[in-house]
Amino acid sequence: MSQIQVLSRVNSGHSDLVHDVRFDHFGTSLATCSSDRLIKIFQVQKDEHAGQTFSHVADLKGHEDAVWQVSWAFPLHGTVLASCGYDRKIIIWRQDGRQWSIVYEYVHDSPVNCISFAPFDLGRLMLAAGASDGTILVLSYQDDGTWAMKKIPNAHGLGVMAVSWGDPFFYPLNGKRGDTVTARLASGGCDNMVKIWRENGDNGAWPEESRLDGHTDWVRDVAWRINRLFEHTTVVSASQDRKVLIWRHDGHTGWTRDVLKVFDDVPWTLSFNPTGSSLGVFWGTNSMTVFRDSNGQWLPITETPSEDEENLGDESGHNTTSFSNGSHEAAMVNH
Amino acid sequence: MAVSTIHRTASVAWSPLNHNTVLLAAGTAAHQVDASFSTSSSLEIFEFNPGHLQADLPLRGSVTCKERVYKLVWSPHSSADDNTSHGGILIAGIENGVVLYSADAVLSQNQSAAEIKRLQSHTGAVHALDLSSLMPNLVASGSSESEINIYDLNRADVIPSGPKSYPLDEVTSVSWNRKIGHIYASSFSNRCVLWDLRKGDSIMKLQDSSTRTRYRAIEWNPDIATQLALASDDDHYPCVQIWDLRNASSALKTLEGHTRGILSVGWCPHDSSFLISAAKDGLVYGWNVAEEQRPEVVYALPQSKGWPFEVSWSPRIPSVFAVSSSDNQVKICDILGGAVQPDKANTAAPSNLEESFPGMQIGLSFQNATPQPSRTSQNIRKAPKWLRRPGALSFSLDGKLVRSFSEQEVAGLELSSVSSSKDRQFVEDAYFLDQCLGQDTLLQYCELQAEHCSTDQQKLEWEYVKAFYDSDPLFTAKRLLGMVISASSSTDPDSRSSSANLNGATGVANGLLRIPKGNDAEGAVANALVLGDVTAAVNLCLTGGREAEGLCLSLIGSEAAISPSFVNAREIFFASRGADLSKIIHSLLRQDAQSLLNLADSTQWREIALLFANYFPPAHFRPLIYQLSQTVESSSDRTLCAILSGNLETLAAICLETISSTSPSSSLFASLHHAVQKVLVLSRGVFGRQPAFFGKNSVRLLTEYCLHLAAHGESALALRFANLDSSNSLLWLKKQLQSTLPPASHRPLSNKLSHPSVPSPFEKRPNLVPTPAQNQYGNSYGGMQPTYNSAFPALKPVPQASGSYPGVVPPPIQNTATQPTFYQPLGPPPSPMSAQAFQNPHLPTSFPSYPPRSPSTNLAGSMHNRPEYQQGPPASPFVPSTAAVAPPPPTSGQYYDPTVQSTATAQPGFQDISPRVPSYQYQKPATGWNDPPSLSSLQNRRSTLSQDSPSAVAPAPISQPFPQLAAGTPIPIGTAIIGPPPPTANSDPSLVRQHSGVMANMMPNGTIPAYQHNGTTLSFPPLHSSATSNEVSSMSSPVQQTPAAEKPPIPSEYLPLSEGFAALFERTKARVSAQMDSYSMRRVEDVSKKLENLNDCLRHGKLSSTSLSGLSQTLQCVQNGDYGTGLQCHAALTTQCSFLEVGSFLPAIKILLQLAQRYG
Repeated sequence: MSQIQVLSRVNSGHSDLVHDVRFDHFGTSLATCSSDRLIKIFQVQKDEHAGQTFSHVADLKGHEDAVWQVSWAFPLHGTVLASCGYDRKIIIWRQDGRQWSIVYEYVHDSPVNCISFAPFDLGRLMLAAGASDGTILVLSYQDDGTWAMKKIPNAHGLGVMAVSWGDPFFYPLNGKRGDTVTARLASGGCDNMVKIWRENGDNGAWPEESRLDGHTDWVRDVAWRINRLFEHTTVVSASQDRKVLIWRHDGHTGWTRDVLKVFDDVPWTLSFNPTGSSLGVFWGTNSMTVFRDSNGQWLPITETPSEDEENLGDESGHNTTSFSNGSHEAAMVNH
Repeated sequence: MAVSTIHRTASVAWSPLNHNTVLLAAGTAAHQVDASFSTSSSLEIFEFNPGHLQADLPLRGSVTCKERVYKLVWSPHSSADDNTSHGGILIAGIENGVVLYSADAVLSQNQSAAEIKRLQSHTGAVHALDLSSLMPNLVASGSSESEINIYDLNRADVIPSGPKSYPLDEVTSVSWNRKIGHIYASSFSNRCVLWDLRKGDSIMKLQDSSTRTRYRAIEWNPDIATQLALASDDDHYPCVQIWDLRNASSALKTLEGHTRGILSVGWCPHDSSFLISAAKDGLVYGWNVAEEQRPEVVYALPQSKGWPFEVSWSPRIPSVFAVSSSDNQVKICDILGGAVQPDKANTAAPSNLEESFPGMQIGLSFQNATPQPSRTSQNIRKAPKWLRRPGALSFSLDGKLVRSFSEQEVAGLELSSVSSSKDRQFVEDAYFLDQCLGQDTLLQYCELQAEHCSTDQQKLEWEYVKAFYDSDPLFTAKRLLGMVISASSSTDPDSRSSSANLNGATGVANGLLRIPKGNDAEGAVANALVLGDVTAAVNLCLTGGREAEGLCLSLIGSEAAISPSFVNAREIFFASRGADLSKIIHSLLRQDAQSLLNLADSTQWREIALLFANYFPPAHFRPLIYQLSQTVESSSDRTLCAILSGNLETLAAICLETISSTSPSSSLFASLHHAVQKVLVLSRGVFGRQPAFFGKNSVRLLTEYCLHLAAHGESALALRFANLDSSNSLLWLKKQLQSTLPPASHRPLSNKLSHPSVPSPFEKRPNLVPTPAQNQYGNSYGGMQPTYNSAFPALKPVPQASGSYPGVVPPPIQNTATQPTFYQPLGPPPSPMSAQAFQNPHLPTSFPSYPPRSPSTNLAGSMHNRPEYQQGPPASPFVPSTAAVAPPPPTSGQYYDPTVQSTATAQPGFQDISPRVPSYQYQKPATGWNDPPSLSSLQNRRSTLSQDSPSAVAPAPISQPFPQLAAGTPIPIGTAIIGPPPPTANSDPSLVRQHSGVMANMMPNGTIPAYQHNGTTLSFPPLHSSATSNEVSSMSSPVQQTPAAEKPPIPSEYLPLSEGFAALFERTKARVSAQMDSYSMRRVEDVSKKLENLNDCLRHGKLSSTSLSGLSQTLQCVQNGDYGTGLQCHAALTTQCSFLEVGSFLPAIKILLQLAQRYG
């Protein structure tokens, strides 16, 4: 049986709602961002004996309003983090030694809701961001140290809520995977649509490739499953209509749609694990469901509507500066 | 910012939530007249599609109506008697009552059916009209004379609302409470009256005696049941008051900012901290009315010319509201900016106006007189609730999951691990594969797999893979190919006589298309040919009337001796022959593989493959099979071809296709594992212990495999697999995996792995080791195929005598001459682990027994020795897959922790294997796997070469590029140097001993932190500005960490050690150079670099006392001339010390010792 085993619970130290959490590509650092305008960096403590938990290592200050999302660049490019927020800013941070500094800042016309670095396989340091005015911004790092920007205006009327880079190996144009990598983006927004964009290699433009119409309300998140094996590819989308839809493209004919689940409350965030075999859904105000790909079917593992409250009561006593190691009760659940 | 416009002066209503498309109904507003003085009125429905925003909303349907509308609401209700109206009911407040329209009828432009009901229930104009959001069948309407009616759409009847409120006054507005269904409020110019529908009476009256207000609009707080907003349209005191009924004596807060009377308020249903107001000053303000804050304007629309008399939030789209104004516009606005098309908006408007008012001059229109700023940043200054994601979650590489949670005002993080017992089999299989790779028990692995296969095809595939581990792969391949063709041929591995095969085969050949088969003479000849029995074929030809062919055939293989005239005659003869058999014979005679390939019926690929095997140079076999595989169609046959040709990439590609095309219902893990194990086992068969270079497809497979393992929390295992590839394509994966490992401590395996289900596989296979008979095949075929591998450029055969291998070498190595690739000097005897485990059960046998010979090709090594990393893996010795598993523990004390020991020895299947493998039974006590072969084990070899005995100075002939030179020239230099060691080398052993004792005492702890620091700070080059793909190469390109110039002196207590090894090195170098053995010279060069690592470690005091004393002992033995003991000491070092600590130089020392031994 599959199960989720809580290893530790800590106080993030954020004084407001945490909007995003992201492991880096090593799984050793964690970035969080919040309405308190801060980005916090945590280190995962790998000490086997003390259990696994987080220790706070840095606060990144630079946003002037809520920080909506963060994204780690592939470490090939150093320790680089991008963030976006309601203050209309996109900030790119880099760690040198123990110091974090801002290496790039861009102020858009409207709040920037989502941000995502391109996967390693594309071979370029690129990031995509979606804004409330419906624009998708694609920033790519140039050899001369500048950032070039492409805009997809009016990508989603009333706002882009989510961007996710495509499976670089997916190449439905000739039905054959893997010969070249193709830069694609999936995006979702306030027009209830999921759209697929493909970079035109010749002029760097981003024409719309597909339009996935199936939600009846705002699309809150999209996630593209990266895989190296299948001819087909999968995109999931979560919407205000409480549905999570699974879009599959077989590499030849086109996109098909399935309902993963209709939740009791709005599913807000989707996250695949690095292999794409697990899909986490954060829904409602505090709930999480993890699905696993079990022979082509997504089966839920466990739903955890906050069980150990008493544990938290313990946590809440701590202040922002102290980080409890969490309970060790979790460690003994399994073995 | 307005995103769309309707060019009407109209009262609007949004479609209810149950509509999937967002519609907006607009009824021509009463009390307004446009420039044309038209009195017509209409009810229209527009569509607002966020996916396709248009400057002008597209009209979806309209009907004309008799009266103009004061107020419009849209109920989702479908009346009981009229099931057709799914679109709901539009309720319009008119001059003396309300009218019910069917939205469906409006949409279908059905004029006659549009009006459902007309209630002339009021005496005055119905300005006040509201629909209960909780009970959408209840409509409240109010007009002059304090008239308030509640109409129930269900019962199609009016509910008495109770006594009129006195003094009689016009009801300016009504509003249903959004939280409590039976409460509603009504506003009069100077008071607000609250009603309870259940009581049928008013329950409360709000009145502001202190100020002069004239209430015009009322709106309940969408979240807080006791709060409502009252707007005053008094030009002297334009304000919005927020009242809380819990303290109804005065307003809670007052929103002041408009300069003229307020006409309408809208409380945002999706974020109650946000309220908009529209006033006669032409302004629409958005207010932050969050509880704890002072109200402030956070949003403003550009001023409009006409009065904005109505605002209404879209119930569905949180950021969107509509503003109706008297200047002939209904604007749809998005408070977050939305997507605006200002150009279109400005150009489309006039033309539309023209249409609406034919004959009118456009100049009369006023709405475009002052173009609005196309895009101002008009975002609401406070982040709205609907943008605030309540949380998120993220997976790490190693199967951990983090999510945010908020409880009791605490923003927390929860770390958990996701595990699935269902996938344990996957992990266990991987462990088993890894173990077999590490122990080189792959022959047995193949046998086991073949035995447990579900299908014949898979079994066959494993047989083919196994062929690479047989003494003579080509022979085994022939046997396998022949086995299928001749059904009666024995499967007994001993049946190697081709004539036996022939005898069995001739009878049962079945008809095939190209290569003749059958019971007739032609078929018999073909069969004999295919099976490689030339004599039989010639005989059959001669007796069967094919004398010419027979004679030609009899000369096959002696092409060089044939006179040109004969060749000419032969060509002429065969040119006249059209039969398939003759063509085939012709091709064989001419060594014309291409025509065979072209001719090939791909279903007969086996026969063709056999022809290739039998009549073409062995070196060409695999390339030819590769070409053949391109023509084969069936995927199963292609797999066999790919295996046969040893082409990993093709195999991986086919596996990928298979995985990709399999139905999703089959287990991904199972098929992934099947694919990977085949590719890896084959790669080991093809490349041996050489570093394997995987192509794109194999890398894809391996990457996926490793990621899945990591996701199961098996990063260490995944890293071992990733390290099998020595190209740079997996560099980052390795780094990622490495970083997930706990620093410098090795994972207890047995905790993670539950053993029982791992079979102790080899018990069922008693015949694990190649039989003598197989060895004989090796002999008989070995000699004639010296260039077997030469067609594969990736392999660079290292010339070296096979004799340097002990008898336990795995099968592939036994075929000495055919696969020179496998021979490296000082190559690792396989299966050290099992050997050790068997002999020395008390020694921990897991990772520490796998010290890599050279740190250069594994990741851990690359941290120290990055310069080595890229430097030509083909030439550098291969590191066993297990080497970089996990760095051994930092301190020896930890290492000898009994728990560690027990976990280490408890590897599944492990104990079962070793006793059953006879060849693993070393006579010698435990040695490192890379120790030189012991004499006793060498005796098992069919040939022992001179270099293995310490007395022999001359290396084996094959290992020498210039054997004659080496053997024949005693070389004066050599004799000069092979003398007593240089004085420096004679550094006093007692001194060393003394020092080592001192060192052991002196360095209790100091080394450990430094060392751990080394382990944890896995430094990646800081990424500077030019972050492009060439970073990858720079990553792995030589980076010398410490410039030589700045090296501090070695502490005096370590000097003897450093100097001792330096002396040994110099001595050995001199002798090796005297031998002119270029390969050994290269190794010596290598050693010199690594010795510098030792010096560095000494300089920085990084070595633990164990290492130091071990090194001293080793040096001492060597200085005494006892290389055997020295090597033993060295071997002990490899097991006792952390690899991270000593890995940078220990292998070099070993090479040094061995070289010194050989040449000393």
